[in-house]
Amino acid sequence: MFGDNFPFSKFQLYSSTANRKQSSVIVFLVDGKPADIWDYHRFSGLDPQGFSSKGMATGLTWLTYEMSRWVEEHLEEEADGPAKVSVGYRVFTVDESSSVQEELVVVQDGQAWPRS
Amino acid sequence: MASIMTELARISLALLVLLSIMKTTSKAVLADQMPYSRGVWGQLIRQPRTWMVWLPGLFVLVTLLGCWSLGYWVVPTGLGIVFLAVISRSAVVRSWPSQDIKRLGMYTPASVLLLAVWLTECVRESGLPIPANTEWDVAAGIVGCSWTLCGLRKVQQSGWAWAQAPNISLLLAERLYVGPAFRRRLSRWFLDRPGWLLFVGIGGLGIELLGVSFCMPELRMGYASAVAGFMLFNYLLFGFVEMEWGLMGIVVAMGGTA
Repeated sequence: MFGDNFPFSKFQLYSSTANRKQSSVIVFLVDGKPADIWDYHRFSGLDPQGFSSKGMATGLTWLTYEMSRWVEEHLEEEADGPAKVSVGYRVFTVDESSSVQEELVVVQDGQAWPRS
Repeated sequence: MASIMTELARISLALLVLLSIMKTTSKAVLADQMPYSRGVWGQLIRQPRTWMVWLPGLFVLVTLLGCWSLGYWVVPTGLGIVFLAVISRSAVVRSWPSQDIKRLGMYTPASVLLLAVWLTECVRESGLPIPANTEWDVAAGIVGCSWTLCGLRKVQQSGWAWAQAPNISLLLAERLYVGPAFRRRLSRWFLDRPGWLLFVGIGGLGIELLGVSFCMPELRMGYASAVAGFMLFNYLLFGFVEMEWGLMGIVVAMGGTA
C-alpha cells in the first residue's frame, strides 16, 4: 500500500544478495588500465545511460550512478578527446573451492580529456 | 546519576542529529562533484564558498539543538529541528533520484529518534501523565524494530544462505577496489579464509535478528555496545561508514537509564 517509503521501509538493504551468483563493481579504464575518472573532465563517445549495471549484480550502485552523472554532465559531442577510455565492470564469482574469481568486462569505449 | 545520563543522552542525540543533517546537506550541496566516491569533508574544506551560504542555517540549527538538548522550550525548538531535518532531506532527495537515495542508505536515523523523543515530550506537555523516560522507551522500540526487521528481511529474501561464505565473499569482493589500502588488505585476508567469512555472516545476521533484545532495558547497553563494535568492524572490513547507526543505540540506552 505504501511501497518501500519511509517510515514504511521494508529494510531490504542487501537482503537479497545471497540469491546472486556474481557481484561486480564499475571501473573506469584509460588505455586499458584502471584510472580515477575524477582526473578527466570532458568525455566523448560514451553513453552514461548505458553504465547502469543491468545484468551486473552490484551492491555499489552509487558508484555507477555517480560515474554516469559525472560523464553526463561533462559530455563533449563535437570532438574526440586525446585519451582512449573505457567503462567496464570487474565481475566476481565464487568457484567450487570457495575462491573468488575476477573477470574484467568492458561495456563501452570512448575518449576523454585529462585535467590540465 | 540517572538524570545526568539522560541529559548526556539528549546532548549526544543532538550532536548526532547535527552531524546527520550536515552530512545530508553536504551530499546535496556537492551532488555534482561525486560526494560518495570522493567524500564530503575534504571537498568542503577546499571549497568554502560552496557552504558559506549555509552558515546562517547552521547557526539556527545549532541554537535549536542546544536549546532542545538543555531542555529549553522543547516543543518549539524540537519543531524547528524536525523542520530543518525535513528541509535537508528534501534538498538531498531533489539532488538525487529518490530510489538511489534509498539505496545509498540515506536514512536519517538520529533525526527519526529525535522526532520520537520530541513527540512523546509534546504529549507530556499537553498535560497527559506520561511517565519519565517514556520517550527513550519509544526510541528504543524504533531501534530494536529496525535491526530486527533488517535481519528478518534477509532471512525472508535469501534464507540462511545470506550468512554463508559465498554471499559474504561476493559482498566483500565488490569492495576490493574501493577505500583505503589497509581495508583492501584486510578484505583480501578474509577472502583467503572462507571459514572466517562464515563467522562474519553469522555474526552480522545474528546481531540484526537479536534487535528485539533492545526492547528490554537491562539488555540495551550490552546490545548497543555489540552493535557499535559490529559497525566498527563493518567499516574496517567493508568500508561502510555508519557511525550514526552505530552510536544511536548507545545514546538511547543512556537516555533510558532509570
